[in-house]
Amino acid sequence: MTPEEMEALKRARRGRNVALGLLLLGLIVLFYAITIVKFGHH
Amino acid sequence: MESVQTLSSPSEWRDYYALTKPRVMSLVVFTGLCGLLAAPGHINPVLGFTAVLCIALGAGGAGALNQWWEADLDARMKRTAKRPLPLGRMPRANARDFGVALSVASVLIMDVAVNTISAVILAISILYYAIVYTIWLKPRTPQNIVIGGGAGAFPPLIGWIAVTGHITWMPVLLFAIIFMWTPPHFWALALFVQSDYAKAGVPMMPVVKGQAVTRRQILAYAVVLFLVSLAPWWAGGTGAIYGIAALVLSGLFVALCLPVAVRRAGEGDRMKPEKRLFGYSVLYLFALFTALVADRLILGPGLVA
Repeated sequence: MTPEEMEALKRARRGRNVALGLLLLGLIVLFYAITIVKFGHH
Repeated sequence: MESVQTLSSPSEWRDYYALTKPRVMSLVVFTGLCGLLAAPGHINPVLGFTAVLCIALGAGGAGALNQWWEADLDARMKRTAKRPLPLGRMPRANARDFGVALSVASVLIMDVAVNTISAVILAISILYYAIVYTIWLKPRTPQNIVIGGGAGAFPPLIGWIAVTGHITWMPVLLFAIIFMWTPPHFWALALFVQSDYAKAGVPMMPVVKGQAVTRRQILAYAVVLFLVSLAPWWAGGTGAIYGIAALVLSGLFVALCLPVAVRRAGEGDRMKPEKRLFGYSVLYLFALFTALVADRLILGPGLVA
């Protein structure tokens, strides 16, 4: 693997990790909001 | 610089995004949201958002499973050859796992946050698209698009039921509208990308039954669509705003199908009426569902109940 390919691989992996991190963060916020709403009703 | 390769550059998040068929999803989100907004009753905005999100996630999962199954087929058609799997941007199994994960998550979240019946129908719609349509019927029958249209017809039904919690004739009519809309919408496209489907061996209507039959069926479905789109008004489920909008929009739809139905295209035909019909068909669905929501928000439930 050339240094350029290595760099591309790292960049792509970093991008995927950031996207996954944001997705998980979004789910945390969503579940928090759902929980608040559900408890508010009962 | 580089020719076709089996191992391409490493997959990026955009490749996974592309697996979800974002352009199809925009229509799914829109019709799902419209079903939700047009339904009688109220839903907490957070839960309403969650319902639409789950519909979108489910559609994305089904889209990824579709691309996982059809990777070889997609590689043979110009329109789909640039999808992540034909380009070799990720292992094929990753698309399958991604699709399963999105699908399962969407159904579970829908069940927890909204209601069980919406989750069940969402699960049915995903299985219907990924298995009944993609794996079973698309490679076997020229009516494949009619059956596939059923999958696209679920979102407004699910959106509506997320609010009401039970199935009534109104959401079923919304289902029927998209069901009848899909064949003329897609066959118009299939008429001008005909050679591609023939090459890939998919039994699309124009390939198997020929142009004449396809064109006749486009018109037939458009006429049925005309009647079905007016049914909510006739049955008293909506007010005049929707009724008049449906009359005008569906009338124009049939009018644009007429030249397509009577024409015969030879070699090198520019296919203008077909392209115009396809372009209008997308606008039609957005406009019709916007009218449905406007009708509900302006005239309110009191006038139509």
